[in-house]
Amino acid sequence: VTEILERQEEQTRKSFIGERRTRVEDERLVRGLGKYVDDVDPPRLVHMALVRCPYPRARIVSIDASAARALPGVLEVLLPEDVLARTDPITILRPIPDAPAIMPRALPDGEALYEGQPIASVCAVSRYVAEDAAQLIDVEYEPLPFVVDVLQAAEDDAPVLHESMGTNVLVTNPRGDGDWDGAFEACDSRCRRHLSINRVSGSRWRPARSLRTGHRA
Amino acid sequence: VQQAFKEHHGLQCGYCTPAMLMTSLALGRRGIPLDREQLKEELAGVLCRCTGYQKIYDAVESYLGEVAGGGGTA
Repeated sequence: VTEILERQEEQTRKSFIGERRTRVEDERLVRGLGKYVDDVDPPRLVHMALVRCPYPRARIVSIDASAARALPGVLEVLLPEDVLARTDPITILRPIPDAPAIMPRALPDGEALYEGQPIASVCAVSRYVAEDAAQLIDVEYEPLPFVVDVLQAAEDDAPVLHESMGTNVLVTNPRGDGDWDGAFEACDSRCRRHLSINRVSGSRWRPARSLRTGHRA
Repeated sequence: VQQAFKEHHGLQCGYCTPAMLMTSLALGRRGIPLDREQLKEELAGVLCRCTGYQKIYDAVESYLGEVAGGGGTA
């Protein structure tokens, strides 16, 4: 056994474990030779900017994109009607048993359901032109009732976000077996706790990005 | 300063590194001694999301120490 342990120790010494090593990529990076997606500028690359809804929930009354389309350097403006005509809805959630599918569109069908939701898309020769054009798009909104609290959203009189569902409760998940009430009654003491579990979602603070061209590298 | 960052693992993805290096260089040229709290203030203008900063502070302190000791070229 001692021999085996000694051999393992020898093996560990030979490996990287516990060793302090410098990185091979550092020399390139400290010389300013790092390359990131924004450094890649293939020929005829075009840029997109989005118009986003400033309200938690709003009906889109009208969109006037004429000034944006007239701006030099603008290649295309996509409004909801264009996207709705050319694309199909998709599901973004994994199927939850008994939950109806929510089928969002890339641009909203008449109603924006959250602040920051994309309303229109501009494609232009540079990001600067695209952003300028996006600001020229005039959207008339009719703000609608909203809730920002999960428990309030579950109440009966809460404004319903997806009318086809008729409720804001996507799914309930009760689990149990046997005589609950009897088991609780038989207990010497009982305690009740309300547990709030925060929503976990991805953050774009340090985004991973990719740029793909049609050519082999 | 490049060597100090490499040896002290003062970078991971490298995105903020050029700004960190140039700030360090300026601090070296200014030549005013800094304790760690002051160094944090001086580097507050550059955001790093990889390292948690400790390794960066180690690297800059090492570099500034060399400069102060006459070993640097700043």
